[in-house]
Order: sequence, then structure tokens, then C-alpha cells
Amino acid sequence: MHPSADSKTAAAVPLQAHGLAFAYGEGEPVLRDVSLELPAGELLALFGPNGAGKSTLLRVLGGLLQPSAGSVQVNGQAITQLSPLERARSVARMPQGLDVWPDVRVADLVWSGRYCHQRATGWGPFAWGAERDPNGSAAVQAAVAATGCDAWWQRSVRELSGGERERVLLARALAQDAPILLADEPTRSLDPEHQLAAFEILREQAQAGRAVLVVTHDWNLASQFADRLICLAAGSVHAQGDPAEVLRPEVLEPIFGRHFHFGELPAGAGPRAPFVLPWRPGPSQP
Amino acid sequence: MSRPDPEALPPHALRGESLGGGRIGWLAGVLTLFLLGAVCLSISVGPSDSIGLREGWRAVFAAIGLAEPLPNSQAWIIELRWTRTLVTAMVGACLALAGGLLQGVFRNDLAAPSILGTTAGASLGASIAILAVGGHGLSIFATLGPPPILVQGAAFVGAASVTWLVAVLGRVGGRISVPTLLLVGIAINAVVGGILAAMQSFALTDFEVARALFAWGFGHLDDKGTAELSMVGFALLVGLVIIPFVARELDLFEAGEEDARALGVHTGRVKVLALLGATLCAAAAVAAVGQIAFVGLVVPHMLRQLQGRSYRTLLPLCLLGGAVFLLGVDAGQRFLLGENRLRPGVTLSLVGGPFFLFLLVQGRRRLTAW
Repeated sequence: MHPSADSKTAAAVPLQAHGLAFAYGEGEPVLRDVSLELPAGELLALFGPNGAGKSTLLRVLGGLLQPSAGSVQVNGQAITQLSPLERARSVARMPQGLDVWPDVRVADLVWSGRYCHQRATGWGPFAWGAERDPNGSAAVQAAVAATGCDAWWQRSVRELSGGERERVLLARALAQDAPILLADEPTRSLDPEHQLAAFEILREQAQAGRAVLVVTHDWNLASQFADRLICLAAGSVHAQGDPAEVLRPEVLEPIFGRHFHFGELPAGAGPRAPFVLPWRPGPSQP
Repeated sequence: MSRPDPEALPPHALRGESLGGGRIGWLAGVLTLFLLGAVCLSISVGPSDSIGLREGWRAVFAAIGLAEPLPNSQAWIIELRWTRTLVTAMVGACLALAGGLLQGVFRNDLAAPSILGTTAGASLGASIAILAVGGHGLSIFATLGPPPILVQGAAFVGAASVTWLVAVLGRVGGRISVPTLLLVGIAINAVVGGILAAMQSFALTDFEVARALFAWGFGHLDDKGTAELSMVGFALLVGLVIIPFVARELDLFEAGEEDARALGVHTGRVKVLALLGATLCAAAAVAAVGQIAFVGLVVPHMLRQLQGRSYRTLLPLCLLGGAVFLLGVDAGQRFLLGENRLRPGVTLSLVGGPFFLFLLVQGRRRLTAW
């Protein structure tokens, strides 16, 4: 391929993964030969049964785990070649909660998303404050405005509910202001209104030209907001395509069982957005 | 999620992280005043009652040519007192900084140089040196230099090598794993304790050597010279330089190492730098004055209560707080008990041991989460 054509592809597809495999220690492989592309401006939803390897895949894509085979390319460059700061400036990750919730104010946690920019623009160790990061205030302001974190801005994150903490983590990832955004179950503890709002935010991020990958168990939200769905099962890509292609009985039932009702959302929700409703089979059912 | 008008956000929303603002300034100011007070107290108290604070400062001004030099006998006493005061202050600062750094790396307020095995390693090195000088080793050791320097050098080497050994054994898959590191530290402490006990038991037959081993274990601040001063000063300088490279990062460590990495922290480098600084400071302190426990545990803890958790302010304040604390303990007990005082290592164990127990009981719930 011509080199310039190659770089053009890289610019349009900021995140590319080829043949990823991963195992924790000597254990069973968690990922087997996963390849995916995350183009700029696209919202990609990743789903799959528990233990399918979704969070592990997100860690590998974010450069936090080394794949045992395959490679992850960020803007055409292997992610392993980036320094931690460069990686954080390219890839923002919203984790599924934190190991330990530190006793810090919401403001501090959200501002910690700017770390990679503060260290980068200031002079080495002496870049301690926001003043070294000219775009910091604007990015934090936008993140706060989108997530509504200003309501508890001065409170300790330990005092917040699960859903509020999730919104703070989303705000931090937005404040990081990276062209690639990976969100691991951002709507897990949110009420329905905020679930919609969170997907609205991710959608806006994609429309602003970012490459957004969201892990979710909510097919119906994914169906309305995502451009493309990927179903991960037992560590490999089981199916991918637009929502109408993936949310079909032939795709889902071999993986999740036969307990779904398939339908289509009313017009206006998006182009042919299907919905899937899990249901409890009664004793009289065959 | 509500969409407030960004312009309408309160101004404090965008000022970035507050580190406690004015309170830190006050605390630093108060600690500096305390430090001055403690230094003056430490200079003016001593066996020769006729020499006091006035002579102490006159000696300083004389040294820079602003006052008449003191008569020789007084000058000599004052120089001893200044050396002792400076060593005490810097040892306190070193120990507190080492504790603060270790607590940041381990993400646990109970970490201290004694848990890593640093102090045990220093004791081992010193004991080996004392035995060698005392005629229990190859004769060549007995001829090497003045004994104090040999003992302190050996303590330094012992502390650094045990810490290095613990860090190497604590590596899992190319990374330092904190729980493994702590467990290895406990095991190494036990091993070193056993070797020390064996050495002391062998040395019992030789009264002088047994006494030297025993005394070293208590730690003392008397009879210090330029060797101790420069050793501790160097370690303190290295610690000071390391602070700005790790303080912000250690704050991000609080939520877990993986999260810090995702935010762009070079976690491996931060851990190596912080452990290096902590080892150097603790080893130099122990090598210079012997075992003085709990400064690294008590001082960061009290500062956290006063000013919050950020390492960006905690680590610099540890330098001030550690110096004030050790000077205060030393001068205070010289003041109260006169010449029949306890050695500072003993005092701090008497006070610090119960304090450690109190922290453990208070933090039981956090400990189970390890």
C-alpha cells in the first residue's frame, strides 16, 4: 500500500487492534484473536456474556495490559511505543469503579484527568497546578457541564452514591480530552434518565470526532445510540455490524439462550432500531 | 443530567485542585516557628549550664564574621551542640520523609521503614561492623579507619541491600507487587532478627562488644561529627529533589495503580524513585544515630490529620514536622529528665509503640481489605 494512503487510514481510524490474545498468567486464554477498528466519529458498543473478556479487552486496548499476541495501534503507532503520558493523552478510559475510592473532593478527582496534559505542558516536575495547562479549565468546564458534577463539586467522592460516582468518573474521562474514549459499563448504576444522558454524552463525543467504545449490557440503549455493535463471546468476536444486523435471534440466542422477545422501536428512535426484551419463560412453555 | 450554563458555574469550580490553600501556609509557618524554637531549646540545653542561647547564636554570627568569636572552650561546646542539633533535625526530617514516601507507594498509612526491613538491615550491618571491630572478624577489619565510620557505613550498606533484596523478591512478573513486598518485608525482618539474636548471643562472652551492640540498638544523638552531618545531609538533599517527581503521582496512586497508569503515570518509575529516596533517607538516619523508631509513622499521620491527604503538601511538611518532632522529643526530655534521660530510641518506642497499636485498632477495617 502507498505510505500516504496508509497514514490516511491511520488518521481516520485512531484505534486498531489486530489478532489480540491474552491470558492472565498461565490460565485459560481470556482473549483469542480479537481484531477490531474504531474509526473517528463512531460510537461502538461492545457486549457479551459475563466473563466474555470485555473488560480485559478494554484494558488491552487502553495499553494497561500487554497482549500475549497481536498489537494495538493508536493513530498508526503501536501503543507499547507510547510513553504513559502520550498514551493517556490519546486514550481516555472510564473504569468500572476504582479499586479504592480516595478521600478526595470531586473537583480533585475530575481534575486528575488533566494530569497527562499538566505534566506535558509544564516544565517537568514543577508543573503542579492547573495554570500549566491552558486548556484545562475549558475541558473540565465542559465535562462538568455535561455530567452535572457541579452539584457535588466540593464534596468527598466517598460521600457520593454509586450513580453519582459513575458520573464523576465519566466527567474525569471527558476532562482527559483524548481522541479515543473507552468506557467500561458507564451506565451500570445510573437511573434510566441518567442512562439516556450518559449515552447522549457518548454520542456527542463521537459526533465531535472522537472514537468512542462503550461496554454495556443494555442492548436497547446501544441499539439507539451506537453506530456499530460487537458481540464478544468466550474471548472472540462472535458478531459485529449495525444494530439491526447484530440484535437478531440467530446471533443472540446461541450465546444467551432463548429467552428474548425481539421487536422494533417506534420511528424516530433511529434508523430501524431493534429492541430486545428478556422474558421469563412460564412453566407451560415448551 | 442537568446542563448548567457553563458561564454560570461558580468560580471555585474551575480553579483546579485546592491543596488546602491558606491552611497549608499557616501550618508551614507555625512549623517553621516551632522548628526555630526547638533549635534554640536544643542549643541552650546541655551539661554546661553557663553556656546558653546567647552563646549559641553568637557562634553562628561569629562564623560569618558578624560577631566576636567565642573563647575557645565555649566555642568547642557550642560547635558540639550545633552539630548535635543539626543532626537531630535532619534525622527527624529524613525519617518522616521516608515514612511519607513509603506510605504513598504502599497506599497504606501504616507503612514505615521498619516494615520494609530497612531499619533491620541497618542494624544488621552495624552489628556485623561492631563484631568485626571488636575482634570477632578478620583482623583486617580492626585496622580499617576509625570505628564509628565503619559502623555507620556498614549500617548504610545493610539498610540499602536489605531494602533492595525485599524489592527484588517482591517483584512479580516484572512489577513490584505491594502485598508481596509487605510479606517479604515481614519475612526478612524475621530472618534479620534471628541473625541479630544469634550474633548477640555469641557476643555475650565479650562484655565490651555485647555492650556496644546493645547500645547501638537504642540509638543516640550524642558525639556526632561531620561524617554523620554530611551523610544525613546528602540523603536529605536527594529526598528533597525526589519530592516534586513523585508527589503528584503518589496522589494518583491512591485510587489504585492501574488507574494511575491509565491517567498517564509512569508507575514503575515513581515507585523506584520513591523507594530509592525512602531507603536512602532511612538508611542514612539509622546509620548516623542508630535505631529511632516510629518517627516515620507518627509524623506523617499527625500531618494528615492537620492538613489533608495530598502528598504534594504532606511530603514537604514531613521535612519540617519530622525535624520539629525529633528535636522536641530530644530537647523536651533533656529539659525534663536532665542528664539521667532515656535514649531517644527508647523514648520513641515507649511512646510510638502504643501509638502504632492505636492506629492498628483504629484501622482494622482497612487492614482486612489488604
